[in-house]
Amino acid sequence: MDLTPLLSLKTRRPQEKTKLVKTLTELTPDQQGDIDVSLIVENLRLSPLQRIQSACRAANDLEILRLALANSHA
Amino acid sequence: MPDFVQLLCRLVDGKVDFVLVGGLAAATHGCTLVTQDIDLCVNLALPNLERLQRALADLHPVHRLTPRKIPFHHEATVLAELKNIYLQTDWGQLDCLGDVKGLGDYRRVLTQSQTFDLNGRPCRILTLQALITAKQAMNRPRDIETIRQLTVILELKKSAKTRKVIHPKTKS
Repeated sequence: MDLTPLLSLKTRRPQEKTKLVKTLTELTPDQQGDIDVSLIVENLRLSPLQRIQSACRAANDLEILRLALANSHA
Repeated sequence: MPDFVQLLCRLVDGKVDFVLVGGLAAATHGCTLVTQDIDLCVNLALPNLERLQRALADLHPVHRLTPRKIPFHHEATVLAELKNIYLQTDWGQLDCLGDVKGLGDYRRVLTQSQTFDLNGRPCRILTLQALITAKQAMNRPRDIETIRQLTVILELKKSAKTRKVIHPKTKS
């Protein structure tokens, strides 16, 4: 699964975010399709520190979505 | 909110003996999958666990899998009994494991690690091959995609063409 959809989350509507969270958390690897090698190569151009920072931003975005979903169900 | 870099820096600065493993290690090697916590293989010797406790002290660490979120603040007698430690801190989730399936305990994991530059600090991480071995041993559904990506990364790193684009700061 690549991070591209996650990086544009703030532009998506709530129902799309819900769908995306399902995508991120429920799809099996077989459902995720082939690996995007170009994205990996792009990632490898970053330093290890930059990759951790990128992973942290993705985790933060996911946490924001989880909180938003939790609040919407409350 | 998670702050992986600051949390790892805190541990390195606190002289905690650890090796980065798991999903964040995979991401650090170039994997594009999302992870929400930091998995570490730690030296379970008491002095090291005391350093871990001191390093996290002001980040309100709690054992996140306990119903009452017991604070991670223990006497030496209790610390010495801990094996795997699953924490929630102000800067994110931190899983401290005494061993890694497929690899062994901290001492064995250490021999299969390398360092990378973490904001000017040497931080230890599982080698790419060791990480693949560990993920294969775990063999959970969510590990399959990680193994696929790590295998691609390993092949990319082996190729002369790709060596030119891989950042050179990771040292054995």
